[in-house]
Amino acid sequence: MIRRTVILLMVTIFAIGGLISCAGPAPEASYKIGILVSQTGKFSGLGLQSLEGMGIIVDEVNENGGINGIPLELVVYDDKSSATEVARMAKKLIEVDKVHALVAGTVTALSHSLVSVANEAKVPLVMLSGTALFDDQLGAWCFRPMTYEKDYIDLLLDYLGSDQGIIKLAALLENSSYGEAGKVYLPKSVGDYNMTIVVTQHFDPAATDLTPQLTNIRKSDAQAIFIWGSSPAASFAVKQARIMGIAFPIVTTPSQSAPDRVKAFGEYYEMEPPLVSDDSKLAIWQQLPENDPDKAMCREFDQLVTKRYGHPATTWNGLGAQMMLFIEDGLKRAKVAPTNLEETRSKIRDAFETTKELNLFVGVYTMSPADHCGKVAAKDVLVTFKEDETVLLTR
Amino acid sequence: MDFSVVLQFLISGVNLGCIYAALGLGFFIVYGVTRVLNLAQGEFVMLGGMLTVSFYAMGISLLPSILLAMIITALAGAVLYRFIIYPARNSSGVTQALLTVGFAFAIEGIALLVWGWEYQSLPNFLDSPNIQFWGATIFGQTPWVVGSTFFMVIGLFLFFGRTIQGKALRACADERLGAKTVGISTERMALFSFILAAILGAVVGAVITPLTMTSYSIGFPLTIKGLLAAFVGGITRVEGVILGGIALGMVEAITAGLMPSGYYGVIALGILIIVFLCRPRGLLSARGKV
Amino acid sequence: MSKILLSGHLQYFGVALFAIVLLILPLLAGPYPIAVLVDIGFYSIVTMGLIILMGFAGQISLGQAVFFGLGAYVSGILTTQYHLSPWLALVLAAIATGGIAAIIGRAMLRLRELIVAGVTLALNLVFYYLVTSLVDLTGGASGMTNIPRLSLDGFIPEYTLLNYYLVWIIAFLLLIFSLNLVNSRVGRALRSMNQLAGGSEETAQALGVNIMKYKVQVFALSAIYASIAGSIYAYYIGCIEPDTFGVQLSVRVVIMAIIGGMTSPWGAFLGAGSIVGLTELLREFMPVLIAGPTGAYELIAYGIILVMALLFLPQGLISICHRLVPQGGH
Repeated sequence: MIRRTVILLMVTIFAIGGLISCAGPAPEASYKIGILVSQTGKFSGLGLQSLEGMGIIVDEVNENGGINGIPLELVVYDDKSSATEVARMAKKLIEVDKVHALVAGTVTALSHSLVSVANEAKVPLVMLSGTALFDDQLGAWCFRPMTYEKDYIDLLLDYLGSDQGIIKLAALLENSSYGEAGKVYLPKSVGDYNMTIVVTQHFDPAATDLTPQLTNIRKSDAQAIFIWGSSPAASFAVKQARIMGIAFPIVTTPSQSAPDRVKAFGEYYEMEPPLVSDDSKLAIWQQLPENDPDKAMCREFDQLVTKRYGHPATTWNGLGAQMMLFIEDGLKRAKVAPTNLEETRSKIRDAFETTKELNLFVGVYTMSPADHCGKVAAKDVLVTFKEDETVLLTR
Repeated sequence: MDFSVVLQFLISGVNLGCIYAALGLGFFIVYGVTRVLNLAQGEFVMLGGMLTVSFYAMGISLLPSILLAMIITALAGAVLYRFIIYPARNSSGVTQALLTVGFAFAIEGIALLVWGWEYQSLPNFLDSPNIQFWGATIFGQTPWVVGSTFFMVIGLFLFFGRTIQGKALRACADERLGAKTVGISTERMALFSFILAAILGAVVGAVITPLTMTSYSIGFPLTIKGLLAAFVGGITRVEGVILGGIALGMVEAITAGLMPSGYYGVIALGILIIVFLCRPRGLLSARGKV
Repeated sequence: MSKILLSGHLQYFGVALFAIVLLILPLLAGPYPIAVLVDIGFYSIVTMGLIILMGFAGQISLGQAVFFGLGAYVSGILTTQYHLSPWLALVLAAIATGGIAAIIGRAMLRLRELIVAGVTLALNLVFYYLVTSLVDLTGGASGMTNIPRLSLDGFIPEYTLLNYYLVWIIAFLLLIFSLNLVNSRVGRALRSMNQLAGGSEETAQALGVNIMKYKVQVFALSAIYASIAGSIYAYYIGCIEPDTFGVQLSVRVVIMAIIGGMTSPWGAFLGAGSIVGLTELLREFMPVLIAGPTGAYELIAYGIILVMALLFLPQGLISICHRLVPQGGH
């Protein structure tokens, strides 16, 4: 008897599963922003951190009466780190939840399919993905006010060249979509700093033992290592290199300076010569001079994050927040009532495209019809590690 | 080729190999007794690591932390058997394997809620120092990894060979009906095998955390690797599983060192598949039914 | 003895009803449910191939995602780099995938079931590494973009709607093909080998069935199903990346086959529909129960419901249909 009831119950549940999403929510007078980031799966760390940042901004905005009196409302879905889910969920946000704008694409691999979806459905999309690999394909409706590899590659290579006198570089690249950017951009830039890449090694993001690759690097005549990756394996590489006695300069991409990594690997990051990485001002705001124009913004955000989540603001908190700040700025200038869906979306897109000198955490942005990335000034800083902390690199 | 370079590759291979072998043992124990492929084995490893980290962070010293982690993970194993596998004992092998998959999803989700997404680490046990050896490096935690795998294997040999419980377990594996005839409770043995696999998994988890870090999502990739290791060697004999694990680790380490660019993954697996095909029952496997 | 759902007259009726529902549905449902149905369609096709392999030939495969991926990537490469027509590329990809599957099958299917599971599992990883290594060909880890769309010089304007019809027409045709297959002499030969259905390889051999030949053919057939779905998927999404085609997908297809029920090709629709439907349902209702990010809760609920479904419906959802619909003579 119980068995049959359970079976009937489950059949009913399964049967109404997909079609129930027909029923969209009732229209309200608010700006609806769809958020599609990874809450589970490979990229959940980045996605969850960005959500924290977004939540802070949205609450601030709504506490201050919304945008021109109209509240911000978020509709949040998990993309499960899957490209198929991303494509479908974007459609749901657009068709069923009828959002006015979308924030999506935790990493580059997940963002591609969105570009055509957004352009066809004519919905403004703000992309959270970190690499510039597809910036020429954004179309009229997608914007990416984010980081650029060029900004940090140049800083790091300049440090290696000018400060350390390196001319022969070893490249240790991750086999991932992020690592792909390294494969593309690093060789392009080394020439500008009179360097050559003498050996290239690859590693799997899930790797835990990089001694084979590091051994090959040590054998070569490389004078420094550029580790390009975002997985824990990249941090293992630093640790294992130091344990193996490799004592030349190592530089790496921003992910390695995240707080959880510093906590686990700080001891090895600090070993001479200390690791140098790139990060946002949020990571080291306390060390900025008082007259630094961004210090106040970082301090305020850090206090809000600490109060609400109990930990200092991380760079990805900041990146999520800056997506919302970008949207807030656009909405303020759009001055459109959210009554007509098509018109609202179109006006928001226009407002995004006319963003001028918007001061955000990792840069200043001015958009234009030809450039939907718009970074006119970068705010990357070089950091290194001392006494269990991330410190600003003094040069 | 430089001797120290080769040595480094070998050390890396042995290290990885022991991890995979230990993972494979968990599969072996459950499959051997119950013919169920426990695809949640990786989650036991994850739980072992995460729980040890949590207890250690509370101030409990290392060994008690690991023991507590083992107990809780053992409980998870018992729950898996008693409430999920046992009710489905007459279902097909595929169904039972999928049941463990469902369990694995739930455990992963719970871990994400409890611990968040961050990676966690532990210091080397007893702060073992790293060793420089003829130009190659042995990480401080590596002896612990190799050692615990070694003791696990010895322990299992003794257990299966010498104790009544162990022999009963083997009886269930080899001849279920016969075991029942002589009064061995196959259900008790099955429960025991799940608990044992969970405990082993937890130990692996704790031991590898200083080397590889742990987080809520490491379970599934470990399950896959462990499964491959077990299959390559032949999941029906302990020696096979161990050999398979070492082989997998060695191939991975050596190809990572020798192959250009990212092809090493392909080569490593290509070698494995060839092994599968040439030695269909695994490198070593019991005669008779697989 | 395995039961076939809707044999005889009832079968034609069922098929006709299915066709009518498929045609009418877009008129009733909004654009989002149609997108969901497109996804269900892809999964159904792949699952149907697996059901024929597992349910009728009794062979397990944990590698269907590889063939799905081969279909997607080969189509993608042929259209973006060699500028072939998408339709032609789809056919070529299916032939190529079938051929590769036949070669792999011949090498491995003589082995025991467990080893076959292991090899197909390893195939997933080999495929992943292969794709990420051959960057110039496949776009590597960041994926391949700008895959052209299928076009019909027809009147259907909306691309999702076009794909709905395309996927479901193909699914429908494959259903008919599958139903015929399992009822045919070939199908009976397969079932005689299938241990799950009460047969055995010894029996089949005694009956004169050329086991190896059939095993390889069915394996290749299931790969072709997956490849077709993969090609259409590539054209639909427009860009593909290697993570999509990993072990998780292979496992998901097996889950759909078991949940749906392996005793009939109809099980593919039940399995695909219920798993996708479950995901949608959880996503819809979790926010009602939980504030904040619901991803973790959805994962837990998914696992629990999966376990319950497998415990209470070990023969799959199709066993419910068996109970409700009287069986014709068999």
